[in-house]
Order: sequence, then C-alpha cells, then structure tokens
Amino acid sequence: MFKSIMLTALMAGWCMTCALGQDRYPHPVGQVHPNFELPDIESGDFRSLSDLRGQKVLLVHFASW
Amino acid sequence: MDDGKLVVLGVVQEQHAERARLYKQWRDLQWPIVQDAFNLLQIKAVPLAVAIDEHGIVRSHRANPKFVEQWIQQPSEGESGKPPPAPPALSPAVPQALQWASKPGGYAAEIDQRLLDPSNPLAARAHFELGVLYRMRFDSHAHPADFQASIDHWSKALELDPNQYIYRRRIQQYGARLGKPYPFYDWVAQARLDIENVGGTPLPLKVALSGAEIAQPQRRFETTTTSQTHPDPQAKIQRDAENLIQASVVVVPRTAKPGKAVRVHVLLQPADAAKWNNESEPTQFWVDNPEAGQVSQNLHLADLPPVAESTEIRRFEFEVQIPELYEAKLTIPSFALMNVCHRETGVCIYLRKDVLIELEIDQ
Repeated sequence: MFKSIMLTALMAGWCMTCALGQDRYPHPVGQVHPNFELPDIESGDFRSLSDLRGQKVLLVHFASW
Repeated sequence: MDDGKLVVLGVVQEQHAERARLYKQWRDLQWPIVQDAFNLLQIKAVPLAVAIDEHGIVRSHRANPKFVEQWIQQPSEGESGKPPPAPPALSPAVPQALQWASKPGGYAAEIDQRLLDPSNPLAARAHFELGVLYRMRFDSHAHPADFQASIDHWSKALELDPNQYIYRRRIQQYGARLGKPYPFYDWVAQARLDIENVGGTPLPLKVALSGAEIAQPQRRFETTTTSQTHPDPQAKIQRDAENLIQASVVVVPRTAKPGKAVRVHVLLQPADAAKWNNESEPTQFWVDNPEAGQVSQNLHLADLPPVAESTEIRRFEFEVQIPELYEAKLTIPSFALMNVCHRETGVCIYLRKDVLIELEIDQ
C-alpha cells in the first residue's frame, strides 16, 4: 500500500528538473526541519509543518510544469 | 494522506494554484498540497521526497518507497537527550511577498532596494520573489510592463545563483523553444481529455496557457516564413495615429546572445478610447524578416471572441534566432492589421499598428 502511495507521490513530481549529484535540499538530515506556512492549493488556507508535529511526515516536492 | 502512520504533504512549485488543482484532479492525488510559488523552502530542483520524523527532524532527503515502508514500521523514537534546536521558520526574502501575493499591488515603489543589492546574500531570492510578484500582477491586472519586469528579475536571480534550476525553469517557461528542456504544460490537454473520459469536469484555469508554455522544445531553429504573403506590401493601410491600440513587447530573455534564440511576446491592448471590433476578419500580425538572423514565423492571426466588441489583450509570440558573432542591436519591423472601434463615436475602422521590435545583443 505504501509503495503505491510513494509511487503516486513521486509520479506527481514527474517534472524532472534534474540536478543530480547536487544536494537539492537545504535543510540537513538530522536537524529539525524549519517550520513553514504555505497556502493549500484548494482552500487557500495556510498549512503549517508544525501542525504535523508528533507524526511521521513525507514532504513530496514536485512541480506541475 | 493521514492513516496514523504517515502524513503525506505535497509542496508544489507553481505560480498558478488552479493549474496545480487540475494536476491533482487528473492524478487523483489524495493528499493535501500546498503551493510554494516563492520557493520558500529554497529547493534547487524537483522532484524529491523528504522524510520528517515525529520530532520534526529530517530523516531522509531521498525517501524512496523502500525507505518509507521500513521507516513507518519503526516505533516512534523517544527524544534521547537534548533535541537539536529548531531553526527559524522559513520566510521570504521580500518580507511582504506573501501579503502582496494575496493582493497584488505596487511592488516596485514599495520594495526596499537594499534587498536587491548583489551584496545582500538574499538578493537572488529577492529577485526571484519579485519576479513571481510581477508575474502574478501581470496575470491579474494584465499590465504589460509587469511581464518584462518578471523576466528581468528572474534573469537577475539566475545570474546571482546560476545553480538554481527553479529560477532557470521559470524563465524557460516563457522562453525560446531551442532553450526548453521539455514542454511545460502539454499535459493540460491530456488531463482535460482523461478527466472528461471518466465523466468528470476538468477544473478551469484562471490564466490561459501561453504559446511558450505548451510549445515543444526544438534542437534546431525552424521557420515557416517562406510560404507567407505580406498583408500590406505597399504600406497603404491607414496607421493608428491616435494610438487606439497600445503595443508592448516582451523579450525572453531581454538580452539575446549571438547564436541563440529569444522568444518575443507582443501584446496589443485597446486604449481607454477604443475597443476591438470582432465582426470582421481576425487581427493579423506581421513580422518582417530581420536584417540578420531569422524569425520563426512572419504571419500570425488572433482568434476573435464570439462578441461584437471586446477589450482583451491580444498576444502574438514568435522567435528570433540571432546570428553567430552578431554584435549590433537588431531591429525588426512588425505591424498589426486590425478592426478597431472608437468607444465614444462607435465608428469602426481598419488600421495598421506599427511595432518596432528591438533586440539587445549580449556583447
């Protein structure tokens, strides 16, 4: 089940700006991820990473272009 | 998705939320998605999946399915010892960016110019964000100068941080086909078809896709100029002396490099005193062959809306290939032939609007 979720998630990011070989993410492993607030694409309401504290979170970064 | 073991949150790099909504509908994505138009998270490229544990600690930047399957089965780790300190929350380099995005306003007048100074470590991000703001204002108010301003700010951002693929892609979105890695929004047509085929109604797009956004990449400059006939060879059509139609030219990128191509966007908009008359033939836009290099197409037609009169912006796009070793400014005469009505008198006339396109060449 989780494999299919992940495959869907990663397919969503098929846009493919490839910068392989570089570290593409500025927030290091082992460190607390900085909080952010960004608008939901459907409601426009802001969602915050800190609201998800206490749960395992998979952030799927992708582009629709 | 939230099943008690894992929460999936999508973060989409997209200026237009409704395009991401259509994408979500098409792919039937069941998890929430937030829009990161300003690249607040400062990622360099997509896609990537990042795993964050219950304490907010980043566990992987490359969370593939195998990693996630194992990770979610692991019991929650108690905090052993002192947790690492939480860094400051992410914020835009232009402090008002999110506020301005919700209510596009006068950025150029209000921006603190020190933010854009190359000595400011955040200057690249500030230019990028300002480019997004100008593009948002262009999309909502259609002030033509905002389009070029967005391209110029993105170009400056990329100059300051040439490894930022997100910046590079944003320029390519509106740029020449020779420089495109792939068509950016060609999926939209397929998405609409697929959604309709299963009985759905595709979500609408607020901002129509431009030609550049759906154009296929090219590896060789192509032109269709040979079979096209000049629509006013003796230059006899009456000129738009009253400036009833206002023309703006946007060049992507603004400065052309010898041997490369640029994409030119010409925007025609009726002045306050005028309207388009749509009861006759389509607006034509003609681009002369330049003294050096070549254009992709001479003759362009704008479809007419199904109403007698209208005031929308009419857009024409073409590309110009700059010759190798060319150093002078390149000027390309062009003109529109169009039916225009005076608002006050109701008189409609057939006019020619001359537009001189000037391309700056990178020395």
